[in-house]
Amino acid sequence: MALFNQLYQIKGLHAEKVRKLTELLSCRNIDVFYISIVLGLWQNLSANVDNDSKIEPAKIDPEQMIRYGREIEYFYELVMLNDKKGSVSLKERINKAFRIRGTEAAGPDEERFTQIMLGGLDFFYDSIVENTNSKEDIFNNICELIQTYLVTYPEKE
Amino acid sequence: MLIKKIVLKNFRQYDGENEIIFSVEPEKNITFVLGGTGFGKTTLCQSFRWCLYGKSDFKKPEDILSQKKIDSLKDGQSCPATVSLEISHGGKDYIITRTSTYRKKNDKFGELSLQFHVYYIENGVQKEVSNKQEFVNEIIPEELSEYFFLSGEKIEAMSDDIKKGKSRAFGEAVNTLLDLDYYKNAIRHLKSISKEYSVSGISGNFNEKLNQLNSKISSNVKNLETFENQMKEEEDSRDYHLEKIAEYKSKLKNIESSKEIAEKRESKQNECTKQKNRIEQEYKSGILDFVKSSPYFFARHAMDAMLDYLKEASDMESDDIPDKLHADLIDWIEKRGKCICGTCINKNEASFDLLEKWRHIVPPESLGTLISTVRRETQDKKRFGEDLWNNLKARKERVIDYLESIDGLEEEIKVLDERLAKAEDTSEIERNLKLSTKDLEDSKEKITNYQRLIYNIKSESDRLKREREYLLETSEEGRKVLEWKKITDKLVKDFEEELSKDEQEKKQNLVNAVQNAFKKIYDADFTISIDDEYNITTTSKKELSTGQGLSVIFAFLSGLLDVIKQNREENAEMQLESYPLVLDAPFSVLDKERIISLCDVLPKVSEQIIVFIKDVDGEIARERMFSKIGRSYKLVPMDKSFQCTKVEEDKNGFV
Repeated sequence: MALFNQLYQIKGLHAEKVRKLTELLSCRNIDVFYISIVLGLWQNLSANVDNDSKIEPAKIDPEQMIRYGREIEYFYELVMLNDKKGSVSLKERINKAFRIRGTEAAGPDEERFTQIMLGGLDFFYDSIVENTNSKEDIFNNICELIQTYLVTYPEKE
Repeated sequence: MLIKKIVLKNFRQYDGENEIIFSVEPEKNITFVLGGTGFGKTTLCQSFRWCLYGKSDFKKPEDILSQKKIDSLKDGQSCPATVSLEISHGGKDYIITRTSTYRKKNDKFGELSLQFHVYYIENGVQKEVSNKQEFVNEIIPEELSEYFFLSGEKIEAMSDDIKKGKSRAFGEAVNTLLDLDYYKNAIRHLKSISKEYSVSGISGNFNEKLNQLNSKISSNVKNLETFENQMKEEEDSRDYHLEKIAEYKSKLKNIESSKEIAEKRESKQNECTKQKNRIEQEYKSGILDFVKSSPYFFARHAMDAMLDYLKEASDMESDDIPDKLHADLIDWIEKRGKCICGTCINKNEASFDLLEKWRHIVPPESLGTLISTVRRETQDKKRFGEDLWNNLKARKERVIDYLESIDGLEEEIKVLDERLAKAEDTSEIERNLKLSTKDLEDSKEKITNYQRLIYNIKSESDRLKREREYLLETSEEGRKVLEWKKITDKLVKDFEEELSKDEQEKKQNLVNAVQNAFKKIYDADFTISIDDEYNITTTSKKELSTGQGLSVIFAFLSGLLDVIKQNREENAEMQLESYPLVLDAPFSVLDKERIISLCDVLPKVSEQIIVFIKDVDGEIARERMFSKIGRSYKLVPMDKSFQCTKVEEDKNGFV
């Protein structure tokens, strides 16, 4: 259970992006974390951790990780089941999501989960923060992002 | 009075010396001065009044001096402007001269000196008249002068008054012209004598006592008069404040005050701010919605896939597995080496391999329960994101509504701003209303005080009068005084009767003369009448035309002068002189027909007519009045900008 019950740190430039997003959206680090996960999954993006130690990491403290543990676990399960990188079988993806999850063997999967989240974070930052001067701009960027999603996945009647 | 000559020196356009000799012949009583627009006709007309009274319509003092001289003067140099009139009055010739000298200093002009002289010529010798201005005022009182030196503008203003139905322009002038003051002053004097019981010639104790009483009564009368006048003024003041209060109240009632508009504007501005805050709130709430719901919104497709994967995994697990089978049972069977059905279970046998396979898909390794839980959880979470887009769309629409509302409100604010700029500041009116109300209270208090004072003085006067009456009735001397008073009162009565008769007669003569003159000038379906105050009214129900208005003016002037002439013939001792009529562009607003009518009557209006006339109207008028023109001049501009004009005699302009 390395990922879900301890301090979670988003490092380097990604930390800066988290701070900017929390400031603009008036939200918590964990909110940016959730959204980044699903955006990364939707856009099939991933990014490596920026280990620039000069930048203060954005943190989600252990208490919060434990309190929202099941929610994070759920998004982890979602990512593991939907991430088809390496053409792994459903059985393997099920195992990653439900059996190996939280064990020492889950290390590579957790790394992959973080990469997807970071890929989503880059996309989230670019979609919301670029050319933004006001709440109106943010609101419009949000609507544009949603409309882009709806083009790919239209709402069912 | 007849004007024989005018000499202008450096007077406005008339640079150098220019002279006009006016006709004084009874049969050719018209002097004709022809000039185009801007040539200096009005200047000539004004030069008479400037010479006689020092008055003109020129704005700056240096406007009197000729432009040519102004241009040529060097710093420190000075130059005079002079107008000289030669007149005959009461059988004597007079020269009236006014000179104003201007000096240029530091590029500015100032009047250096003003000289005014009136000379008369006796046995060929020129002698100066003392009390010069009084003398001029006796000839033509200044307040009447504007009726005899009539500018185009004055004629038009009088005409406008008459056109509207009534003119007071002549009322003030008539009493003086008809010499009605002569009687009125006499009556006033006699009445004052009668009141005072004048007793000169009687001496002794009686006289001393009567004088004391008279003095006290007289002092009371003066005080009474003073207080009554002051009270009258205060009553006028009270009425004025009452009027003002009514006016301010009416204004406040009728006008839309800037305060009201400002309040409306503030209300609109507040509404506008509210709408802007609502927009801001929509954006804020929309962002909050996004933060809360977007993880589930953007995960919808992944969740759908997840449900499919979980269903597939569930199907895989349920293949041929007995219900309630647990890994502990498998351990027990393998350890026992025999199934509960009696079948032997040995390693490397198919039955053992099957049990081992089942171990991974039955509890505790079984995912069945977990999958069901996650599937339910997924169904729930999908719902979290369901409304996000609809909510955001609704917010967007509301924002559009708010923006439209803001546009409307801003437009209204703009209109209110415009109205505010035009609106009267009611605070000023309200302040004035407050002041007037206070002034009214003050006036009322003062009036009450005056009433009290007047009552006291009257009571005191009554007591003194009773005492005087007793003194008069109970003494020989007193009875004499009463007899004299009786005689004085009789005189007053006789004079009043005479005045009334004379006034009636003169007024009737004036009415007849004016009506006759009007008939000659204008063939109208209405008549002129003159009320008790000598205001002119007409019986016309419609507003008069400009031509009709002018015709009324000339009819009145003509009638007035006729009466004066009649008086002069009847009462030689009253020495009523004839008056010249100096007219500036009198025909400019008349059509040809009216000009002809006026030309026929004009020579008869006065013994001397001086007409400054525009060249356009001039030819018609000259043709019509040719036999009556004694002298004719034309004004010739000496430069293109009309800054310099020369007077030339027009030998062909008269017979």
